[in-house]
Amino acid sequence: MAANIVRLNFTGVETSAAWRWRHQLFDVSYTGLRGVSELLPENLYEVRLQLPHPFRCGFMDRHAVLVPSRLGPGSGAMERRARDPYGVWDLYLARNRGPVRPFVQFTNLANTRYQEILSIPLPGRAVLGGVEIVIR
Amino acid sequence: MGGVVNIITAPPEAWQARIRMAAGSFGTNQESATVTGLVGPLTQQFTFSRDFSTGFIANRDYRNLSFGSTTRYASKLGSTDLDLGYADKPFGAQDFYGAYPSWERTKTWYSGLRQSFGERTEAAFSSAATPISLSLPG
Repeated sequence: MAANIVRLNFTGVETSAAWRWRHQLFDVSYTGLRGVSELLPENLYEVRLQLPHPFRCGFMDRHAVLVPSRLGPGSGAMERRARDPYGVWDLYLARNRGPVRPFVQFTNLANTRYQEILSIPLPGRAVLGGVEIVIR
Repeated sequence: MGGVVNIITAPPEAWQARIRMAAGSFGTNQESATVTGLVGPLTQQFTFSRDFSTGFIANRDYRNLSFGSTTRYASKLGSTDLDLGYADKPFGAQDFYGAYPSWERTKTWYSGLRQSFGERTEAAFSSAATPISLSLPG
């Protein structure tokens, strides 16, 4: 049985701080979001709610990201209500000067098994390499 | 509830072309190109992007394709920007709607026009159409 979702409220905070040192940029951001709704009226047994991007409009999400610029690790930690937190590590290396700029990208280095949407797995450890050619 | 993200691109300062190629895990291969030119007060940028993968599991493959154009003209009135875009994203949607294979395809057409009046005032209009195709086993 379908039901309309009423009185769905989101409150949250989003903050970030950045620091530039020579050619490097360090930034940290934090997003906290709390969602509250009356999803279970008395005359229903179950209401299933699926949101396309639960990180951005989910329930009790906490996410911290540290992403340096040209060299270094990127990491993210996700914690959801009633679920264990998990971390995802990324690494990106690139040459930013000259006409030929190779790069390599490693995602999910720890091969974490996680599902941002329940029952839908996301990729494990992966690598991507290539080159960018700049003509001026 | 809704929101808006305002992306303001910097005007190009010289002719330039960028070509990017990459390959990696799960049969991923990516190609993209950006060509920028300017003649007097008129600048033009074309972009192309192709991103394919065989998927990290069965029926999670994707074949993304997109094109874009940005035209900017600087006049005494201010800057006039015209953005046009097209994206085609078919992908396997295994387990998205249940324990069976499914498939989706999203196409997006985008257009936007922005006119600045001096440094403190601007008007903008944009539109987008995104039909979504969904295939589930019957």
